[in-house]
Amino acid sequence: MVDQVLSSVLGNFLSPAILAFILGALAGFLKSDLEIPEAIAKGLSIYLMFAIGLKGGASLAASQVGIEVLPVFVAAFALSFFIPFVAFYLLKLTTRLSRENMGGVAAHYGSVSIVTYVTATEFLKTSGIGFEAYMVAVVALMETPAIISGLMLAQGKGAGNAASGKEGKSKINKDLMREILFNGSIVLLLGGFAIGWVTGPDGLDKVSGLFVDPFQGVLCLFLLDMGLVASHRIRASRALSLPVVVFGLYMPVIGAGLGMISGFIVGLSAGGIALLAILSASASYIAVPAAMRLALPKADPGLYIPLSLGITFPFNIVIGIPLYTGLVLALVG
Amino acid sequence: MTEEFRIYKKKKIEIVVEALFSSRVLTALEEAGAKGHSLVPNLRGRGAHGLRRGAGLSAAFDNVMIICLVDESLATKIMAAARDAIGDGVGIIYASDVEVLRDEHF
Repeated sequence: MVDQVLSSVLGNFLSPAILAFILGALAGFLKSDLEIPEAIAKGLSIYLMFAIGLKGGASLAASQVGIEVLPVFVAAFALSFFIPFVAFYLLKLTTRLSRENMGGVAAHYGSVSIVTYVTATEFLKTSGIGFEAYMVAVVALMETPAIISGLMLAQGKGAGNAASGKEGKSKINKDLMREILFNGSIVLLLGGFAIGWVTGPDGLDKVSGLFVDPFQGVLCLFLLDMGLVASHRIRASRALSLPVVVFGLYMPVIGAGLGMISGFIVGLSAGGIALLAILSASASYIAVPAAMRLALPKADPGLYIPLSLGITFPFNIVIGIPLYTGLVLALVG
Repeated sequence: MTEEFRIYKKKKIEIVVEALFSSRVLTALEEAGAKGHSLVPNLRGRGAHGLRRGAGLSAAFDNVMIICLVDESLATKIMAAARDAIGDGVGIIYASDVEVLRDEHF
């Protein structure tokens, strides 16, 4: 079992995408002038999200699914909602962060990172492990519940009223709801998924020259940029203390464990369990930061973004993905 | 110089604010009586909140600049409205004297 996990981790290390991420991180730490223009990085991520939605939808159209997806969706929703409570408790136990900061960080860990998911699906594909086509919908489902529970935790019982001005108190208003429900990544992911589902494998065939074949290459460039961004954020960060950094390393493993147990209970395939574990392990750095800035301006983005983007994201894509997958295969495969 | 050429004194209010708060600020400006604005996206810089630049897709570290030319009589009211809209968010607000043509635009 240890052999299996170890070779899985080493094999992942030598994929072009992971090496590109490491290259980006190195360039950032070495203060290279390498820079991917923000508009291009945004373009790459639009491509990735639309493509992953499209492919998921097309393969769903080609497969038979019925009522068995319901327990999976319920489990995914519950994971996203309840992981922040675990995270909040652990932060309370090990750090001296303010209540707002703990709630903000907790929300990130309940929500998911789409790029981590994309990297994981490529890893599974390369390893020849199949998974359920509807997992893309699970990604979209897990993005939001954590935002609600994170805000609940940050507010606590009657806390936050004392010093708050008009905008000081965290609250769910129109801007926030729009940010949560219709943020670009959700629209692309679910929109691509719907288009893929409606048009099926034939539809995907027509656009596969753009959306399937170059996918791995685009992922490389995107991860190169992620490496750069992550290292810039780490370098600029002043808020990360040791207990917080350590939290960024063990929290994904705890999340993965909860994901694995849930995936096993609801009867997913080995690949599906691995993906649910990875989703539970991953921390958001796109949708949740935006929502937290609007709803919880007192929580420090200089804390939660470097933590999720600079610590947990690299840990998950370099070590986490093969580690969780290897564990799942060793246990159920 | 033609006969109609005249210049009018106005205040230029510039607001550097985190991108996520920009729609709030713009609504406040409009409510306070500003008739228009320009918005410069993707700013980069450093200040009380450390390094400010876009971090991938997340807008949380993105700053934008809102530029707004208004009548001098409105300037303090509009600046106060912008301050209230920013609240606990990241931002700086300042004003300067400018001269404009075509008074009817402001």
